[in-house]
Amino acid sequence: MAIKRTIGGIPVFIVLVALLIGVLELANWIPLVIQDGALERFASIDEARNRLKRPDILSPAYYPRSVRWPPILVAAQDRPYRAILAEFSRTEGNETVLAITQTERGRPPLRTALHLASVRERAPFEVKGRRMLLEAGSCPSGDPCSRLSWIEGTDDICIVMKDAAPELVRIAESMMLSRAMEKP
Amino acid sequence: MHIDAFFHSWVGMFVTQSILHTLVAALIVDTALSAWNIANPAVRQRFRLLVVILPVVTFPLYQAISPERGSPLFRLDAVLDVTRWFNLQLWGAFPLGLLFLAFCALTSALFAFQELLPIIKHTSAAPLDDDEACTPEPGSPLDQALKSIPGPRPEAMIIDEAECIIFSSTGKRPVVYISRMFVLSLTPEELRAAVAHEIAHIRRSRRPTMVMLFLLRSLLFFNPVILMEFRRIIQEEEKICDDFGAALSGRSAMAQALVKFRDCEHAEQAVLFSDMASPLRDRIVEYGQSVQFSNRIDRLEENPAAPANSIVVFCCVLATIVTVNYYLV
Repeated sequence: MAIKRTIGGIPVFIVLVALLIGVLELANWIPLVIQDGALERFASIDEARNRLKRPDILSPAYYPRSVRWPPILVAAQDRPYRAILAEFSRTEGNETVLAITQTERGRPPLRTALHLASVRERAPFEVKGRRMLLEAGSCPSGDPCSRLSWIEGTDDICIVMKDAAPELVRIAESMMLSRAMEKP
Repeated sequence: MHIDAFFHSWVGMFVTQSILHTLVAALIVDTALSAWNIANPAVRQRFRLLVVILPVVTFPLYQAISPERGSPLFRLDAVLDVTRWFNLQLWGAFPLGLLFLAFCALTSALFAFQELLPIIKHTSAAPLDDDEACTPEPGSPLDQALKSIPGPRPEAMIIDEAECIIFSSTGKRPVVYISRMFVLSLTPEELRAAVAHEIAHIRRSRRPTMVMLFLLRSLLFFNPVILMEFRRIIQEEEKICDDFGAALSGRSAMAQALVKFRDCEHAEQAVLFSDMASPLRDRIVEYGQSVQFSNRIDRLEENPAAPANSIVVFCCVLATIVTVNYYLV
């Protein structure tokens, strides 16, 4: 009798839990309909620029050979503050090796899978008239990581990469260059 | 600190996710209780304990398994990302998250005034002295009822009140207090059931589970769902103690003792509320208590349904809650 009752309850339970998950997914979708600007995934940086009407979103023109293009994730939001995140994987494999964030000044950047868990060295320097901070250290996995950050207009830009610092500087230079080319 | 920074901090994530996880766990548990028609209060209480315990344990566990649970990648693929709601701007002025935090503050105040303060008052209150209560005479109905209950027995004291009163004090010297009026209104079997119910409370209050439960509940003082769920656990506790009384004296004797207590309370409240100035709040509380009594009486008067295999169901519910809640951030 107990076994019969136990088995008999399973389909009812599954249907009700499926219904609950459906309601939760609906609750996840409603805020996107009510107001624009919530954190969303985009197919490319260009799409984020166009849909958010943000021509000032920077993207590199140079990518190291070890990095696969297009990015594996482009996520951006306008609310509660402007922020964009692009993550790139290694050419071979799915491991995230490059992350670029552009965030409204004074606000925390969108959390990325790649970040500096510890900083070994800090070096301020200038690239194309911008004062930047280059930091070298290690990622949470223990691999060597570098971070380059600077202020661009009203935004903070941060590039984190699982690689040597020179590549980061090249990426930053290419971002400056593409910005300069866009300006009339 | 911006409000959105709080919601992305460890503490903020714990606060929001523990509330969300408690709500979903409570819904899953209710679903299971109705899908398998589980009526046994001890089993129901065990299921409800999951709702209180899991949200405390699972959030650190999830974060340890997947430290990137708060990242945009995870949030975008989640079943529900509650920060989407919190970031909605009301009238373009302030985020909905602020309203949520105000609600948490209100719940914390409710916990302090409705649960914590009464416990502190109860702990520091002096027990009734001998002028207010006396021991039952040897051979009296109460003495006989007490002696017929197996196992360790607490003291019993009679209060000379013209109201129906029965309660127990736990602590180092547990005592069952019962008013003379209530003793006189019960048959020997009903009295035995009523006293057994109070003894069950005393015995169960010594279990570490209940102490641990209250500590966990206190840890989630800001959680409105826990506030409601804890009360449901207390209601199940009453039913468990009813079952103890029913096991000794029969379900009908226990039900009759409850009926007499409820009717007696009704009569007292009717006199009290004949004054139309009685606050609405008191009337609502009285109505709530009356509904709870009726539920307990109805349950005792019904034939218990054949139980499902509660261990299998419990494991099924536990796995469902842990899996679903993982995708709620």
